[in-house]
Amino acid sequence: MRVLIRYLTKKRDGAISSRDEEINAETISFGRGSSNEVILQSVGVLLIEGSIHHRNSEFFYEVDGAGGNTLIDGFSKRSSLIKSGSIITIGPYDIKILETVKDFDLVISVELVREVQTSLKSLKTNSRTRIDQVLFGKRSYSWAFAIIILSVFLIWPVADRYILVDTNLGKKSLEKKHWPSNGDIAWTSGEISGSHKFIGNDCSVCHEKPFQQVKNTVCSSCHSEVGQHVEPDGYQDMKNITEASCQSCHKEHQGNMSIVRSDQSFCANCHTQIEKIALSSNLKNVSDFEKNHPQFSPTVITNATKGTTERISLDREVPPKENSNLYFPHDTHMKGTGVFVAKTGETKILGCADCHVQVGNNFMPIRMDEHCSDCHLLNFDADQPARLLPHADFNTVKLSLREFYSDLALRGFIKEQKVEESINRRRPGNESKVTEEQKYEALEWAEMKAKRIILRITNRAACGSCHNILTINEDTDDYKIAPVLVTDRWLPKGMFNHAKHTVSDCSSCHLVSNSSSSSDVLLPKVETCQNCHGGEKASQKVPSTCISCHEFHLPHKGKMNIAGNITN
Amino acid sequence: MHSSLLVFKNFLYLKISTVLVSICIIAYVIHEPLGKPNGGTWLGYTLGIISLLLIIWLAWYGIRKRSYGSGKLVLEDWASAHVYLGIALLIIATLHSGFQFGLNIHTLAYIFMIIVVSSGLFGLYAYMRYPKLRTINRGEASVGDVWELVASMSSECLVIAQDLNDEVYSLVEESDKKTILGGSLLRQLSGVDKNCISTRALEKISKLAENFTGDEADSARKLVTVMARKVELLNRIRKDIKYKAWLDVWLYVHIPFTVALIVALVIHILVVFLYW
Repeated sequence: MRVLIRYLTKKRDGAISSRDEEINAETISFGRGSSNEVILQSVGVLLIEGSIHHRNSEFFYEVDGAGGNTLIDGFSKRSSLIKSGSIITIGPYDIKILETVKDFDLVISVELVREVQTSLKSLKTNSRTRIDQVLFGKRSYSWAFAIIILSVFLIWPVADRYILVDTNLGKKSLEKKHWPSNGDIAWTSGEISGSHKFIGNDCSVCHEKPFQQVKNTVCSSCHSEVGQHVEPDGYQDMKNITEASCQSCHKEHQGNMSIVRSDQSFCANCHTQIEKIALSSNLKNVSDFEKNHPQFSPTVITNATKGTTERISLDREVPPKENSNLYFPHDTHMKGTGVFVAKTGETKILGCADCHVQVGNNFMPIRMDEHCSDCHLLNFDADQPARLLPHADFNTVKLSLREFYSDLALRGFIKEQKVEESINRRRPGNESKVTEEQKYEALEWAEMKAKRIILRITNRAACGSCHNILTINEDTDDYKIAPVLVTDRWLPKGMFNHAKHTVSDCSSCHLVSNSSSSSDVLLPKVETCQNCHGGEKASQKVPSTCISCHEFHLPHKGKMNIAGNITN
Repeated sequence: MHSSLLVFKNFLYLKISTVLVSICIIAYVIHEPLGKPNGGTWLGYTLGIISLLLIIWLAWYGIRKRSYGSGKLVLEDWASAHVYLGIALLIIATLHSGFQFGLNIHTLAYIFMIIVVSSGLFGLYAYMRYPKLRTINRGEASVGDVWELVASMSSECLVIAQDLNDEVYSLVEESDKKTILGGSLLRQLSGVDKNCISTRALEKISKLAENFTGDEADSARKLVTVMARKVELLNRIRKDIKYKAWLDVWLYVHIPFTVALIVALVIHILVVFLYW
């Protein structure tokens, strides 16, 4: 059959050019391959797509092999009759059956109707080669960050703290109802100190007004009894201490630690030259516990009778002596052979704790009836060993003796040979008939006995063994026990925690075994402490700062005027 | 921008930064604050003000570098100073913090500062390393040339494959139409495409070609040669994309986090005095 093939090409300006080709073949095959009668050179076209056959003066299109790309008049068919007007679609090509013209059995047009991407175009279309093609612009991220941060860390907290406040209750309403925590929680400049943690996350407890430093009144609303460090009117130029703001020393939000200053330099700033700064205070210069700390100057009782005390350095040429009006030789009591316990008749080796009973950091007062009387029995009459004198003043003792002996005499129980006959002769059976003369004799004897015993117990063997006996009037037998005054704390300005030192023997600090007098001040010297304790920066000793032993706020100096004239 | 930026004016800005940082460190060591070192002492405030001024000046670079030719300093001055003062900021702001960190806006601002400076340092590294690698990788050709070359090879492959069987042709066609360069952020940054359609097509065609004879074998050999060259070029372009991506990507961290830092910094300063 003779076929006219008209190739149509669309130009850029839209006009269509055509090129005719005449062929004579049994079948007209279509496909990519060069063996086809009609070569459809394009991507998406198979080597052989199909072919037109001529049978019984009719034309048929038959798809080659599996085919699949071909539509005949819009339908996907394996084979179909075609006639004038039919359109065979193969990939991007349309093949139209035109009206036959003279000399030709079949006229068809071939046109590339669907644009095909070029290699470069498809490569460029598929590819993303710059980051700005796959990300939003930097500006978008910047805006997003700015808005999120502003909202979470400024707008919400400010609204929660200052704007959305329930004015009726004066409380923040938002967080209670809608949020698990305060908006301003992220404003904290650091963890609050352990002792203030009970405040929780309520910043407004201390931060009362915006842009205003926390005032002293906030502190004093709880800490109202804080003492001064020096008397406000005592010295000149001490206002930086007496009128300091709490915050200048006590810094909050430094973490779970104490906000009490413990740095040595803070104290040393003044106390290195305190003799110059506060001359009248009699304080000694100090800068470091190990390197520069004055010797201990215990406050000793110089005269217990008058009640006078004096601070005397342990380094003084004549060591300080305490005059407590009490005689107590430690060496006798601490003998290795022990002491005789009269009450039980046994010998006992005494330890410190037998008298000094520690309770926490302190010691119980030593009491005659608890700690002394087992050995120091107050018996006075060999015939009446069970009878004890009261541990009381002389008048009471005298009265007690008189009563005791009068009772004996009047009831005729005197055991003394000489007086037995005259006073006891009425017995037995005539007790009720005591004559006036007998009464007088008996009372006279009783008075004599009492007086004799009083005389005896005032010597060093009895009351005088411990007490200082003052003779008021020897003729009238008027004696008096000198008032006893024992120091409770030799170093009242320092704190020593005995409870923390129980690992050491008492004797490692208190040299009592050679002390024969209660006037000895058995306080260790500062060097003893310095054996173990160093200054703040000590590396081979226990680092100890000033406030390990001393306090800054001293109640006896008056109240720190934090709620008054200092407003900031 | 290259390594001369660092030695600019005989390390002038390195010297300035070193002096500044040294003074700050010495002051920090000598200073005995109340409690732990923190931003609230006189030194803390001083270091904070220095850091603030540095941040403002460093951020100003972003605006300054767009307006050429104004001011006494040339852009190299600014760039060199930007690098060294940025590193100085890292140290001075850390001293300002007193090494106290927590879950709060203050530490958030600090973290943003760390991110900004580190991304900037990476940017410096990128500018020292990648342009050189890019030049070496590209050879004589420009980027546009290489793309054209790939496209022409792809077309050539199609022509060669025209008379080969449909299986081979469809592979060539797919490789022509569906090959991707770059792609997602990670793909661009990695510079490799394990699922590259052209690479896979080349492998398959090489295998299929073993069974060809005569003219087909010749065409197949020619096809494989051209395809292999195309794949090689594709991989070179991918490397170029990778270098370009690394040169660009740090700015996507550096700039948005600079803005985040400035916002957090404003809140930080405001809040410190709001809750004085």
